[in-house]
Amino acid sequence: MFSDSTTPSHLTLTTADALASAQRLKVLTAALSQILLGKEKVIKLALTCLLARGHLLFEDQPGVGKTLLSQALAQSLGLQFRRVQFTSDLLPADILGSSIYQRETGGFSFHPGPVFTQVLLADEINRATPKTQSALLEAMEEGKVSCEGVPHALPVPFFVIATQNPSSQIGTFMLPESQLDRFLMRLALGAPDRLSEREMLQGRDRRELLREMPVAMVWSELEHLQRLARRVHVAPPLLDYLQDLLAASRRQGHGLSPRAGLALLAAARAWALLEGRAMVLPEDIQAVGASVMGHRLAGDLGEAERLLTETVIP
Amino acid sequence: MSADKQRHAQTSGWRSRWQPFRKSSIRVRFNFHTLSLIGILSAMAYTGAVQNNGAAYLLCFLTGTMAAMSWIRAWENLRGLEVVAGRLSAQKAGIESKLPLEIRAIGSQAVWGVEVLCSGSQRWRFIDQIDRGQTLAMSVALPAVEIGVEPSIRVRLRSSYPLGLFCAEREVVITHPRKIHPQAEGLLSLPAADPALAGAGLEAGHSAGQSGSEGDDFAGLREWQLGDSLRHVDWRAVARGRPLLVKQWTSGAGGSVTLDWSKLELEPLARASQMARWIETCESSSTPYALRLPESEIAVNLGPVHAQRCLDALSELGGVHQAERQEAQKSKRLPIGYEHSSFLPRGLLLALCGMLMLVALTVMDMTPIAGLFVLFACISCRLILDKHLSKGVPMAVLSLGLGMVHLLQPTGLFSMEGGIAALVILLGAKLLESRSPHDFQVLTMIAWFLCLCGLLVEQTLIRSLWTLSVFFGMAVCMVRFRRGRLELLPPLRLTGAMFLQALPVAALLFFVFPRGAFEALSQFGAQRSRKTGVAEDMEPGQVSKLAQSDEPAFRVEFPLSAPPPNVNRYWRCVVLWNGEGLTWKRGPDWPIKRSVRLPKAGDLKQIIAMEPHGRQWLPCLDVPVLARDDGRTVLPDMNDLLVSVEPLNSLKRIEVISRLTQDSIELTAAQREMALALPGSLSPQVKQLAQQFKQAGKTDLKIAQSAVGYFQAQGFQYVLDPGRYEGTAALDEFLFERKVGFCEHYSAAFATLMRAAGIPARVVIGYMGGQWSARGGYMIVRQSDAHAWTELWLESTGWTRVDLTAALAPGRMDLDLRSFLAGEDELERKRNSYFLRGSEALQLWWDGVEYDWFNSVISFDAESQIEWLARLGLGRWRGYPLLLLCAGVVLVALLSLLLWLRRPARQDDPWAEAWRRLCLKLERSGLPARLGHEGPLDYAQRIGTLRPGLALEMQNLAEVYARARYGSEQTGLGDFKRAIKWMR
Repeated sequence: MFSDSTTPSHLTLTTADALASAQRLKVLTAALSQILLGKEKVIKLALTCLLARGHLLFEDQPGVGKTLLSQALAQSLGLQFRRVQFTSDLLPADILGSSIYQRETGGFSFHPGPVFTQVLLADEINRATPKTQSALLEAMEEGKVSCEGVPHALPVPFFVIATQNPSSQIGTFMLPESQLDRFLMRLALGAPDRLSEREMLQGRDRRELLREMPVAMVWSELEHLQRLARRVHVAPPLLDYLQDLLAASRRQGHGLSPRAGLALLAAARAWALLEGRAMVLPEDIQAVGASVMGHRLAGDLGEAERLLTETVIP
Repeated sequence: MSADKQRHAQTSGWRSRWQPFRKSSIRVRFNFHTLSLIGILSAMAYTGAVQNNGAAYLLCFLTGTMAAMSWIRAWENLRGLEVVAGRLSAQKAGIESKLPLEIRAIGSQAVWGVEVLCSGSQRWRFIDQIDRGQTLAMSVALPAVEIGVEPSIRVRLRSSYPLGLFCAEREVVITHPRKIHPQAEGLLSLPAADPALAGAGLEAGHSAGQSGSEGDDFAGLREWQLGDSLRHVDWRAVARGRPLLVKQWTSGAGGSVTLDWSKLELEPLARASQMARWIETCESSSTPYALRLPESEIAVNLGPVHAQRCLDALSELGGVHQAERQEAQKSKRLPIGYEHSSFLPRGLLLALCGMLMLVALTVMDMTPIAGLFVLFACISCRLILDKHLSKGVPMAVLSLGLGMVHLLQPTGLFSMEGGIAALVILLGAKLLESRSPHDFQVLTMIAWFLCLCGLLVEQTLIRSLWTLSVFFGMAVCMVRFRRGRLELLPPLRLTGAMFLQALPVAALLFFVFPRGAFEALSQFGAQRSRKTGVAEDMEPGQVSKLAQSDEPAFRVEFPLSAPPPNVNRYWRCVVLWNGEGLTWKRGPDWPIKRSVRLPKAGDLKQIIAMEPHGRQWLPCLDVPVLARDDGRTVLPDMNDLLVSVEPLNSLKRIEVISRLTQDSIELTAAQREMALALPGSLSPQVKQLAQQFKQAGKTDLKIAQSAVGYFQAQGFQYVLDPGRYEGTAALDEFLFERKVGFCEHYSAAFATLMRAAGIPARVVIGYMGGQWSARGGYMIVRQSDAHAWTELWLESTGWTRVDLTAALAPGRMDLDLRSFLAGEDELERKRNSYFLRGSEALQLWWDGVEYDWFNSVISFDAESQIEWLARLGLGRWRGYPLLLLCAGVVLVALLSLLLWLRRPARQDDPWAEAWRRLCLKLERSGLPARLGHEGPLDYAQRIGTLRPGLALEMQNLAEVYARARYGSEQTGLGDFKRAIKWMR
């Protein structure tokens, strides 16, 4: 899921490559910003998540543009997009697909479910029962679906954007910590600022705009960028800083897992590439830190921010 | 929650290195070993003063300096720690809990051997080592306390590193109020529900569904608690092997309860426990509850936050733990820590035992062999058993050993030798019962003391170096006790560093410290005596026995002239008057001294450095005119000899002016009578021989010459070991039968014969010859040069030396005794053998080194100190100014050690260092300092917005730095530094 934590010197990305990649990604960001106004930071973080090959969790109110952003992401990359609305009576088979008896052939054939897509929007994931949730999360982790002992590979770019609604908790099954860990980032969109909102209200319908939106980057190119992101240089002082952060989180009971450390590093690398840098800076870790660490830490939401401000850069 | 904020102080600038001591919570205390140290130091100073023993002084200064430095190091060891406390979960009364701690070494070096404990708790944790910049996560036990609020937690750090001579303590106060909740106990059932309050202040979810008191919606299972009805136990689950579980029903919030403090008729503690139980019950059965306490009230609610609030309120009711209680805890005896309760590994024990053996070897020649045997037996026993013995066995060993010493030691138990033997046995006995670092430290302190004892006997360079290295080895063991890890190299390195740092200071003190300060001590000294060298009377066989020893007797320098030829090197020591055959005795003392004579041309000035011999004579060449000893003038007595006031028990240097010819003096009647007295047992045969001589010559000189001729003609042999002559007939046996003798026999026989012939005669014993050391520019006279000859009173020349040896063995005059006795063949062989010549040269060279050591260190006393200071231009400094100077030297040394220890932790990365300097520069120019968590680009941007003029430059610099430190291109450090330098 994530890249190696150290980079051999001969594989290190050159600054020119990094700048070129950043230019290409900027085009993508600009295209997405046309659809979702005033949310550059969130768009960049979402792209970071994509670059780092992680999955994304949105936790926000309805109507702030979660679906819109997911659709825009899929469309700008020319990817297949599907949306599944999770409800409490949703069964694993409804997502994964099932084997159905074929009268003509006299055998069973597998009918793939909605999970067989490139970008999947799992809306209100906390409405489904834990059984269904874990079926999806397993598919996310393994990259394949097993039905009656037969493995079925998922499409190669497989990017899950899940949303959950924090405000109404009655009759929901919140994702437990262990499953939250599967998501690279948790983001909140939030309401747009006044200026952007005005522009949105005045402008054309977003759905229409989306329909007209051209493909900004082909998938193979993004795949290349994903490979480049793994080659962003990481220096020992940065690893020191990262370890200090992890240690500081563990000081107060259960802190970040080693997997969380890997995730943080991968996200920071992707962010550095987005910024056009061939190496990771502490600023990169700080930029993605709150999103990567927030849902992995017990305690209130400010915990990640607190860690970031209290840990001294060595 | 961080406890102390020293990290920032540590990282910036020189100013912080002088951070005052008063802010620190570190105390360095004396312990038991400090007392021993003071004792040892005083013993060393005392020995130095009494014996005028330079080596003891040097050891004293070295020990003192090392101790002072270990004080500083103990302080700094604890100072280099930062303690951060983690989150403490809610605590219940009467239950011990653990406080998570993070300890980080923030100083310039690693931190070693620290004990961590909590005030009031009896448990401790020991930290071996935290490397520089590393962090150790651990937890300490907190004592169980009663319900209430504890305003702060005191964590105590304790360390005896490095030498264990002092105990450094530091208290870290973690100001985080700890609320100790009551334990949930009590059997009373919940008070009646209060429906009027139902739903007030509750979330919608909890107040929904009002369907009777016992709802019928199954909500889940929870663990069975005391007081729950057995009706609701899930028996099926129990049958499946699960614990007792109680079925929960959503009760539909049949109303809330009010837990009222005043309505409970119980002891306050039990009341709080009961309330806690109720809160638990309410929480588990989802019954909303309110809390009414004497001074506060908490509204109806439900949920973990509410429960926490209620429990906190209950614990506040217990009251803030008073300051007196804190004090009581503080004064409570600290737990027996690492020092007493840990076991040392076998490897260390082995090393220590080896060092103890070496220590015992330094005092080998002062203790009876049985004492060493006891020590050896104890060491082997301890090593083989590999466990300590209880008190009884060591006590038995000790008492048996002491008894043995008392019986075997000729001087008894209460002499110096007896004391040292007792110490050696004590060492063995203590080893048997030792197990903890404390015990072993006691052993090393005894061993340090024994090192000093080793220097009492002799102070040769080899001996001193040996003692110093054993001393060093013991210090390594001390450092090793204070660590838990099994390595020997780091303690070795640390001790080496301490040694090297202390050595120059000790050397300087050695030269500068006013010796007069210890002078008073020397009056108490009972001196150790060991008699060697020529005796004060002469028996046959005595000189020849002495002549077989190769040890140096004294060394002579001739500062003004060339050394005299071998023929004239007669060192007179003792004059014997009372002759009884071959045995001669000294006769009466002549209290009258010769009058002062002025030196004149042709007199030889000598500086004689004497080995201690335990007697009073001082050697000198022929007739001494004047001598100076320690600034006092010593006049020769009527025998023309120099006599010291006290027996010579330490090395001594005297200056003598000698004359090779006798001045005209009178022989008094009493003296003449004594010089002619004959023993009653003289045989007629001897008298007849004397008469024969008397008739042969007219003058005394002629008579003497004929006697010499007689000895030459009769075939007398000169050998080192002529066999024993005993009894009254010894003289006859020698003269007429065996005719074999050594110088003592000839001189005695000749003097007796001359007296019988009417010439006043006496015997002189001393040394003849001496080996010239070209390297040292001095002559070494050994015990093997011991000699005896005769002096006759001749009217013309006064007392005249007649040496029969010169007549019988003329070869002896040009050679030292050994070479002479070895014979011509041996000499020839020596001349041709490079090895023998080389070894002789080496021996001489080494003697020169020893002599220099003796001159420059051992015999360095108050007088040479004044001389030395005068050469530095400080000649007029005496007493207090010198003491002040010494204090200054020590202070400067300690301060520089402190500075060195507080040097900023070295930044391994020069880029980081340069960046740090840039940030410091910006801070000084009035811009805000970089925050700890601020990356380079962020900081550059912030500076740019605050001072737009700097924006571009700062951004460039930050980018260069980021590329270098976090990227892979690390060139242009010089340019970067220059840019920082030129930035305004």
